[in-house]
Amino acid sequence: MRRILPALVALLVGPVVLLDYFLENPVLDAAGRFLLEGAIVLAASALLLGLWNLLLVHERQIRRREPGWPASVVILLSTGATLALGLAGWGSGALTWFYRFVLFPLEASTGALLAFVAVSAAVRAWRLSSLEGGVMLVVGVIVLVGTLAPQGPALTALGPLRDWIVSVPAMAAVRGILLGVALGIIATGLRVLLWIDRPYE
Amino acid sequence: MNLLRLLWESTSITVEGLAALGALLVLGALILVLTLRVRLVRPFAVRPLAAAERVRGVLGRAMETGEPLHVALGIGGLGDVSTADTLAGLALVSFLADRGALAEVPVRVRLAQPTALVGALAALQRGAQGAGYPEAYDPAQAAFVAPVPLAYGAGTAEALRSEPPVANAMVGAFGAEVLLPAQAGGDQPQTVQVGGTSDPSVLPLLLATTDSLLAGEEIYALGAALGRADHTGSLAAQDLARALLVLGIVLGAVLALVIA
Repeated sequence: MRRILPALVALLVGPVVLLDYFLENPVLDAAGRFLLEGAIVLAASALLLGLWNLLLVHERQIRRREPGWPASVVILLSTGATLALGLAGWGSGALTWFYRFVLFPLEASTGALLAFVAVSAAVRAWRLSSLEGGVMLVVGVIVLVGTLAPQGPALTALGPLRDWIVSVPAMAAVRGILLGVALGIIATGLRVLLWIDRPYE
Repeated sequence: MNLLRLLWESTSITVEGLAALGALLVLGALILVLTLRVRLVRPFAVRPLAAAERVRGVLGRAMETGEPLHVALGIGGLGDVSTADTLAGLALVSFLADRGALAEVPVRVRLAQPTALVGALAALQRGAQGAGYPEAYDPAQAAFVAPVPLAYGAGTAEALRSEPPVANAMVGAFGAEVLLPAQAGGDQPQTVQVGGTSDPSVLPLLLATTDSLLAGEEIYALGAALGRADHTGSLAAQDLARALLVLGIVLGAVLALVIA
């Protein structure tokens, strides 16, 4: 029963939602809407599982004094503080303050690091003397300098070169990848709908 | 009968919708036929993927050293737009869970969406039960890091530094935050890194930071490359559809040139 029930639900629900996407029918529309809303509620309830998992993983890390356990203490304390702030101070603006003055600056500073990490990764790939790494670095520099619109006779030629790279080879590669990805997504979905792949078992 | 007629009469579809539904039904039928062929006759040969081969290769080392294998499933979940990418990552988790439970190799999974956590826990539990060691399943093997991309990237990077794995596979939906765990894994000399995602803007980041890359649609072939025979039928149908599409594009371009 544990195996058959989820499979039956998937087999019945999938085609209804799929047909609702293509067909205009009041009954199908209502059924599709109901099922999608149900999926949203289920996804939201999975957040409780996420919270339980977070507590489990970090409590164990602290108890066993595993490497990096002080970070687990900070994570548990900040989770508790955010939860308490959200429940106790609902509508008081305390949570907004927390987001605005704690979370957003932290995110922004971590995001700012990414540019340096990207350069470091590109240099590392180039140092490993792989052909792809070298090509990527050279193309990256041309696109970067070309986008900055530099002055000078030698550098102004980089503008049209940058435009050509972005609109011809890069665009062709991206379109090819997207075409394959779209087919892959459709095939993955159909495999689940046709009961060939049952990841929910 | 009256109810069915009423339903039929109140149903409408656009021409584009009909064409798309028709194409979907044809592709579905093709997948079904080719999967039946795989089950009844023999599986299709699958071109080896370098990333899949690296993961297979590193399993032996993990068995000897007891070091963990790490999978970063990315910021996608199940039931959203990145479901297919997450399922591709889960195929890898299933493979490692099966082999890991048999050889007592710890498998760690880190993700950013609770819905993906459900899938990962199910795959790990199935792997332990399938190997005959249900007690090997530990719900803390899969860790929900954070639902925010940058926090997820930073948290996963920190975990990779605390417990360096023998292999770090980043397969799923990612954004620029993938650089953080990729850099952390790259700092460990013994860690083999593989990556795969469908987003073209993230592929260069993975190319620069991993040893093997699954580019775009290759992540959907990962299950078949890891030995899932039930995935080879849909892969063959996908290839056939792509060949037809390419043929259509080339013919269209030639026709446009001739008319011009």
